Amino acid sequence: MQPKQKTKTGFAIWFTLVIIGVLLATFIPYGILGSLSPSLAIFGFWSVFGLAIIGFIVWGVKDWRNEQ
Amino acid sequence: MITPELVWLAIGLFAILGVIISITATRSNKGTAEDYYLAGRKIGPVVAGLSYAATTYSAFMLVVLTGLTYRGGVGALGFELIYFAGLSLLVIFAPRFYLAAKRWGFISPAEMIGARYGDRNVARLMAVIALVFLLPYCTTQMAGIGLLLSGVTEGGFTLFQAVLVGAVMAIFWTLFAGLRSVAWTDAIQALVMMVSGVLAVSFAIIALGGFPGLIDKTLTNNPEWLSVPGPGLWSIGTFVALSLPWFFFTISNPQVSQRLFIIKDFKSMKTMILWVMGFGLIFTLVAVTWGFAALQLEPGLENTSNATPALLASGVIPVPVALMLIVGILAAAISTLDSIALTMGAMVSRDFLGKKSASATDRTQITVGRVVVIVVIVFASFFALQTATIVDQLASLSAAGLMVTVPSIIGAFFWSRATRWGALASLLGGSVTAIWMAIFQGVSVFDPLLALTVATITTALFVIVSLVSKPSETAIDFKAELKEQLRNSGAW
Repeated sequence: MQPKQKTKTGFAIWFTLVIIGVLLATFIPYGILGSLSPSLAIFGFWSVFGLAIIGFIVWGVKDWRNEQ
Repeated sequence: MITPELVWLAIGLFAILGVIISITATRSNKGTAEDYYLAGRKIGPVVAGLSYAATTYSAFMLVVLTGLTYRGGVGALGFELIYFAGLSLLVIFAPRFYLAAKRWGFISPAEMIGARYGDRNVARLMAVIALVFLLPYCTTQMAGIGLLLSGVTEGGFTLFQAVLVGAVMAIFWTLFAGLRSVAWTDAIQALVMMVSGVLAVSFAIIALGGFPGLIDKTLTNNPEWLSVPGPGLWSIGTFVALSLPWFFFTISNPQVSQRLFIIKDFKSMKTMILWVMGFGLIFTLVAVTWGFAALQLEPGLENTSNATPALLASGVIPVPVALMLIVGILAAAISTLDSIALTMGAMVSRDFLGKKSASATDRTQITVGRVVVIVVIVFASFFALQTATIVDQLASLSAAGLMVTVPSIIGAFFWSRATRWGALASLLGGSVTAIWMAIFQGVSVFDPLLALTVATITTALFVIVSLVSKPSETAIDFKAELKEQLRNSGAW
């Protein structure tokens, strides 16, 4: 079986999602969540963001292999 | 309070372990520069991952980040997680750094970028910039050790003694076996940092009645701390000012990016990154939770950097765990310090001495590197004892300062048209702007104007000057040269 090749489209989607994720990680807490009364919402949101970053990185490295 | 004798005992036991590791590592020495600076590019994924984590996560975490949480609340978590998100740059750059370094035999990141642009002056300028901004950062690691040890012993440990301990260990871990002993001691230190951090924060949470107790007390006593901008520190401007430069830490800091040269093969790099991610997220949550716990258990501290020493000395944390965490923070500082010193050594011996020079044998390169390691650590110790204002200013500027290397590094791999003149103009113009604004105009690193201006100027100079100049004939077009290898390795 041929090893899976990474595509430019795949990279563009991944890259766009990471950028959007980082922007949302700034503007959602400072926007919607910051206007609510204090709770665990911001702490929880950022923790989920941390897990999402792990997900993005796993997605990015999953096909890495030693050269044939 | 913890007695100085107990602290000395814990440090002594830790030192014995480190000495055994260093001596064992020395026996594997091959005598080449590649072996000394990169452990022969044969480090396995777990040790490389833990070494990367220990180098990245310094004493900053359990001293400064904890203090920022104590002072400003949950914004510290967001800032640190934007920094953590910067690890996603590894998906793009780790394969390129690894393949280029292996194919052309690069030892220092600056050497690699210089070769790309076909001009050793680019490498030299990057090395100088790293020296200017990282040496003060080393000094703050030393100062952090001093603050911690004197804090937990209520002055029983002097700043001089603390700095001496840090310096001797950092030199010993680095001098004889180079990267091999640094990586092995890093791995042990990362484990000590993690285990002690998790244990200590667990005891703090138990003392508050578990997570529900911590949450209830925070909501009752300090509700603002759970929001942004919170009690005042984390305005959106400060958040952007700190997060933007730190996001690029992965590629802008040579002691971190050089870790991508030591890994034994491509597949191992994947495992290494997974280890770094797991460590990073858990350690971030530990440091921030520790700050929230300190706020409830030791309220009212004027100097928030003392949150960790105050909590450790409060009696809430059992003494053996407190001693372990002290060693863990000491380890975090030393692992960052010795890695920076060794990278400095690599940069001076490769970028200034040069492999093309007739005199630059492996032995000379190692000797020069060893001298640089000692000089860097001695200077860092000296400045830590002097507590000079200029050092504090440059240290806080380190992330924004090193950000000036980012356009040249990105361009090296993604823009074939980029030239050495563009890189030189960007590096010089950006760093002069950063120093002029921060030191002479007094613009704070908490002001987004600083990071945004430096980013704009350094990027604009890189693009404009590259467009009006021609690439060097000796430049290596990484983008074209690495394309096939990247595809065969399953990387973007």
